[in-house]
Amino acid sequence: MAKKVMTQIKLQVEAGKANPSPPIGPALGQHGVNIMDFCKAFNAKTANDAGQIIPVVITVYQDRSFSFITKTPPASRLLLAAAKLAKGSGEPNRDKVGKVTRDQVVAIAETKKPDLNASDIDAAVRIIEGTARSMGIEVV
Amino acid sequence: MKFKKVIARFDADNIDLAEEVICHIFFSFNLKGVICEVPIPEPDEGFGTRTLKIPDQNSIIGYLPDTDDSDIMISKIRARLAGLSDMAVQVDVLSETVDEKDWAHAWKAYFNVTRITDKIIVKPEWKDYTPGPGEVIIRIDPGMAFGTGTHPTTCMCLALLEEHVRPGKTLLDVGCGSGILMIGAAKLGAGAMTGIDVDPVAVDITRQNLEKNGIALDRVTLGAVTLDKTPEIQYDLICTNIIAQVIVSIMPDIAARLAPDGTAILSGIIEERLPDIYAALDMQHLECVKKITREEWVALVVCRKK
Repeated sequence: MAKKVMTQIKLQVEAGKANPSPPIGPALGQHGVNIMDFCKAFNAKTANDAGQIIPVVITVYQDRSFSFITKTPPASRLLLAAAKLAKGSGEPNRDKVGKVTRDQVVAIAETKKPDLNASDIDAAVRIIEGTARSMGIEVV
Repeated sequence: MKFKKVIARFDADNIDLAEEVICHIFFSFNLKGVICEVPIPEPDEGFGTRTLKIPDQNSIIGYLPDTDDSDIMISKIRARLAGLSDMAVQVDVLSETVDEKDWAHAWKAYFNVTRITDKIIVKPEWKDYTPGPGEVIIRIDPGMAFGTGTHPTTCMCLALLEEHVRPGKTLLDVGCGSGILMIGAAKLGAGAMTGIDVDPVAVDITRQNLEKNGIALDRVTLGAVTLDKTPEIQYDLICTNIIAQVIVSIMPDIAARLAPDGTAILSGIIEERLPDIYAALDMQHLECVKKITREEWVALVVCRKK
């Protein structure tokens, strides 16, 4: 039975820690979604990824029921992990804080590709390279 | 509570790249999450028919608590985002003050009187219902805490409480949320009850909901603590509706507080995690005597091994 989709909402939130404060409360509340039911389901599905940021796309149906799909972690998180860094540079043009190899960039691009609008792997690689540059991470 | 809503509207040749870098900047200012108003690449995997539009304007939205420092923080975020013009990402930052109450109540319009079992009815504060003979009415205003009664895990817990609560039996509710399970148990005749939750807001809401349901607070102990910090008193009934991982981690503390002939009701378990629960039960010499399932959720009735 198909249900009519009212809207889709994309969020990036901490795994296992969804709660009704912003951004989840306002993003879902305005569409009539039971905020607590979403938090409970999201936390149950993502409990193993604690500490990670998880992008999630929530589909809201006209009867206010919802479903959601979790996505691959943001490129910035994958880059920080690859470069073994806790955070990126506050001034990426001046302060380079770490390095990743070209192979690592390609591997991240492969991981992320299903969730990107990028048409091919080269386009995905360019997104990862650009993200690295914006964080003060050099590709070597 | 008030928040500053920070809206980063952007134009870029490469939307994916712009989304990644803007979100990263928001997170580097310790935000707990963002809303991404961007085109979503593939259709949802649900069962919907899509009637969606692409957003008129791509935006990343973050929220900061509204404090004396929030304007300084916004100008720092604005400065960092302006630096993205090097990468052909043009960002325009707007901010506005929003109040929690703007969204906290919006979804209530869709929350209705719900029949849980033949006997138990959950009724939101703001809806009218005339009870039939013998019906137990739980009046609930979940506020910003877990447990509205509409979730399968809560429904199953209430149904199992109806089977196991006997007059005067003592009850421990681990993760009391809105207090819905304690209210149900009290109305079914439970005696002394203890409710704990790691969230102090939940404990306050539980207290308010107990009062709204006319349950005498002198037989109730509430606390914003974890189970291991509570005294090792033994209870006839323990109920917990959290998630499998948490239930596994507190299983030794549950076992220590379960009376020799006591019963524990474990809910909030997603089906794929069931083996973890069974292993944890076994280690504590507990066994499952009943299992019920609704959608992808499982609830168990557990006793000591004979």
